[in-house]
Amino acid sequence: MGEVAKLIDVTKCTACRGCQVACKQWHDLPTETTPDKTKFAGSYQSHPDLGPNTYTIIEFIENTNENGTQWHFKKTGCMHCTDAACILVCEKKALSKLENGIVYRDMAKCVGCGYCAQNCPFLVPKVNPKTEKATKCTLCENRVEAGLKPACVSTCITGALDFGPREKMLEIAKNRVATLQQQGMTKAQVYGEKELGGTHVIYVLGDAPEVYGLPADPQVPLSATLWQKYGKPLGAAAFCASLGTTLFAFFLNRKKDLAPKLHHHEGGKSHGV
Amino acid sequence: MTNHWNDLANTDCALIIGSNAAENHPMSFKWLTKAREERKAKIICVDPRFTRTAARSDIHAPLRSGTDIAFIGGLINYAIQKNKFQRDYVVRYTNAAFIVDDGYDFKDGYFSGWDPQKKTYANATWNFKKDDQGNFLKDETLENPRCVFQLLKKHYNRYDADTVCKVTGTPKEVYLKVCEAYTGTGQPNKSGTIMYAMGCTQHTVGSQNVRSYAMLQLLLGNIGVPGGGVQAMRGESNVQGSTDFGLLFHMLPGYISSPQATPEYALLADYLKKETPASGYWVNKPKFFTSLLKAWWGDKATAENDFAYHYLPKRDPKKNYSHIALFEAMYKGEIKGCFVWGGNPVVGGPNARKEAAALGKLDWLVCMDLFETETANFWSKEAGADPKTINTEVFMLPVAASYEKAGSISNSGRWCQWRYKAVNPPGEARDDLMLLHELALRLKRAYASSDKPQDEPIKHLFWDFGNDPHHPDIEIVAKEISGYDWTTKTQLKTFGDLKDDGSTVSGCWVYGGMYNGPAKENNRARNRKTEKEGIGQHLDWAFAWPVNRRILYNRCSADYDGKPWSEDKKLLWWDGSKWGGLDVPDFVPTKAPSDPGGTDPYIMQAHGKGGLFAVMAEGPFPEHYEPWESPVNQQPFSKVLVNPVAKVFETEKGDNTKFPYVGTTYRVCEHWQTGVLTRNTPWLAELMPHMFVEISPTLAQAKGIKNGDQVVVSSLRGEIKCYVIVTGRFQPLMIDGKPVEQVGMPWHYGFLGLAKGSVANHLTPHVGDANTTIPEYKAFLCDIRRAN
Repeated sequence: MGEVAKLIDVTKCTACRGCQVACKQWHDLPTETTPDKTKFAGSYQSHPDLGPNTYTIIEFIENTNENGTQWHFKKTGCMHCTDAACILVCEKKALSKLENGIVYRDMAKCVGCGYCAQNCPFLVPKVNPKTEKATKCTLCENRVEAGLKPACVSTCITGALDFGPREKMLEIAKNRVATLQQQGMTKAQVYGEKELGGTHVIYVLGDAPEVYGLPADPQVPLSATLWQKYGKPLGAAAFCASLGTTLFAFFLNRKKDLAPKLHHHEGGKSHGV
Repeated sequence: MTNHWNDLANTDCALIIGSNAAENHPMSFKWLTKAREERKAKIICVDPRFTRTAARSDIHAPLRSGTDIAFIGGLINYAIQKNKFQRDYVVRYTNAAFIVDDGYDFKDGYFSGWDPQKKTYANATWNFKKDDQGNFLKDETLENPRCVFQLLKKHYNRYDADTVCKVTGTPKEVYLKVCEAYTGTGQPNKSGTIMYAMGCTQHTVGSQNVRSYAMLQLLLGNIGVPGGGVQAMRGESNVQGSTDFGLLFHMLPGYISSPQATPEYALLADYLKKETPASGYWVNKPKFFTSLLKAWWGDKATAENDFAYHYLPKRDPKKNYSHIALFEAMYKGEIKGCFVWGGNPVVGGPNARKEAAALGKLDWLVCMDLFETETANFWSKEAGADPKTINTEVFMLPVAASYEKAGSISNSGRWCQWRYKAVNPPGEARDDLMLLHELALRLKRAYASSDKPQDEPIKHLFWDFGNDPHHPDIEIVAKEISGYDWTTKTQLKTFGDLKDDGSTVSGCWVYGGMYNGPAKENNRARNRKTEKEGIGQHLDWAFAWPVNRRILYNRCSADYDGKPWSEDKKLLWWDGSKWGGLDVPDFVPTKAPSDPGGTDPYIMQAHGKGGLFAVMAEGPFPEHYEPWESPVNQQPFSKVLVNPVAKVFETEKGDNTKFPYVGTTYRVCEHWQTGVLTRNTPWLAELMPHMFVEISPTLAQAKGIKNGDQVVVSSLRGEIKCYVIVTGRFQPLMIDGKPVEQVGMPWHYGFLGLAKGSVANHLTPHVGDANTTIPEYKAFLCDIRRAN
């Protein structure tokens, strides 16, 4: 099939959240928020962030200003980057790139060190403290292998989600953006074509990436590159001892600066902050 | 729906009013999104709050809950004043040209015939004039001051944009945008659809709200065409089926009125005389009715015994048997036992605390549901009751879910679709039909040896659905619904084959011909062929009643001569000898446009025309009245504040100085009705775990409330505690120069299940629409304060 991609057209999403449920169903994931354990967030958003048992969420981004109210619905999950920082930092080779572009996770190899979680420009992977494994969207690589679409895509009502060859998805995305721009959404854009070497989750956005909590120019953190170059061969302990934890911590903290300056973001902590 | 879900893709403009389609009928947005992409269709969302539907619409027009008639009345006025209506359609396909009775009048908020002492209407003057031969008098120039069109024009002349916006609170510039966009569908090559749900109907003027939509659609020539119509989006997947099969208290299956306990309904001949009109398709009612009696009593229904007409219970015309009235009667101790079958009134009923108290007056209560319901636990401490004081014996029967049983389901588009059983139900759960079957057989056994004539309706009930003592053969049930010849037992092709002499059987005539042969393949509800080309009518997918017709009143899609109004909107056409096209014609296929009645598309009406003027409980034209509990003390259209014939069961209403805010209830995408199913499903409970109320930032500031706080919402009926969402999606509306705040909340929550929360319906009143008594859930007065 060559490289594949999931297309997320946020301008068509009605936030029914069928994708969230389909994801949990396919992966047989337990619930994370329960009425008695969860504090009310003051929002329709179900989870403040992705979690070890929640690979995708719809973020409800609300903005009321002099132009009226905008309520954006953004599906969030692993971007399956070409330049995947998580793969660079994964010492146990639990994360790897499949030929079709999917960032594959091998749960058997994962030790839950959390470097992937720390270095992801989108802060996607989450470590489950109980199982000591990092989890994230798999792009349903087993379904894809069997010729099916990812669970979330197959349940989407409005066609906000699509899946197929990456080139085709890009073409659809670009045509859609052209239409949106004609309709007056002048800031409509494709996100993911070039970012991080090209991601395998591509967005059609109706506005600037920052509006949706996406970094305008995501980068593989320098810490990840350094880690791959020097840290990995030496091993974690040696690396920390030799280069010093300060330097590493500095780069780890830098990712905060990479995060976009955000609008009022309904519902808990925003992704990327 | 006059049209159907897939047909939404053919629209040029969708006016969504009284509905939050994206959240509560999500599938509609599949087709609307298509219309938007492929036809550049506009979507207009008219809603008090900014919803997920509003987020996906081109225009969001806020209005105060309960002011739809003002909103639509203004659109009607705009269409007429700006000459945006489709004149040719209006002249001959509606009753616009008809001359109205000289006695008809509308003055000071009342229509002619108002009796201020009895507080009722005599509606004799709401009628048309006829000549000596009994023909309707008409003026097709529409100039006669007493024709429907001129009276309509005069009535809505008062609904100018300024006055409308004073009442609805819609910003005038937004309102005019809606007027311009929607009346643009009055062109013959455009169609607009109006989509509504319970936000429209659950008002004291609910039925007139619907009528106002229909009238606007008639004026714009939007009914009977692809992408047009009035779409009742039903609140449950099979509500359409339920109403088709006689769920309504005054109806038998197939929308046949139930007989009344008065001399004029004494015998079958009396009933038929009273209920059969002189013209229109209902002249066939005796055939449908007799075939129904035959389905119920078989060999015991003979010409000699009036086809067992005397077995039918007769309703007291002075009594109301609607939901509210039943619970009022129960509260007074007039009802001893109750089956609650897939319902949960302790959460879903209006003034739900009173309804829970009413259940405590019963001797016995049977609840049937997938999970234990709040209603089955009305007596518990969690419900706020004292179990020691309640003597009601409660039975809870677990039932199968839709995937655990086979049968048909009728969607909003009137498509009857067969479903197959996927898995067995868990534990002791059984499917509903099984429970009903056993109940019927046991009742019949109980009365088998009785000689009392009053027991005959049960003793002689024709119940022959196969040999399985536990489960009826559903194919036989479906065949009976569709209709067959009593002697030969052969299935009939359509309801056109039904007779009034007892030789045919049909359990619900509108489904006539659904099962048109002996084999399972003849069950057209099983049809599963999609359309490859065409406009998405999918005639070989499922069966749509009547006679597999997908768009009702489709004669209207062609002009007087039978030519489609436009190429883009073509549906049916006359080829010189017969009607053909993309749908099943709504009339005799060989009736030429020039034949008598050839331009009478509204076949169920005695006069064959769309009813711009029609008899309703509160008058022939919808008029704005305030909700029973209103934030205002006067309104600009008349001195009559509230619908004078609304069904009011409460003795006292909330004072708008003590309860100043407009309360309303709604659903969210993630939960289903009273939440019995969804609040017990972990993945869904997780999505919307808490009961909440939504208010504007201005109200929050005034009340010292912060987002996420716990608050108390109160009405005259009671108070509830829940979380609050403070959001810009709620804004106060300027009503006659003063800001009015709105308070909204979902009604899904109760005290059982994984996701628990306060019952919103503790706040809503026992007040109903004048025609149907549907409760006014959507507009009531409330107050709000911080919980601590």
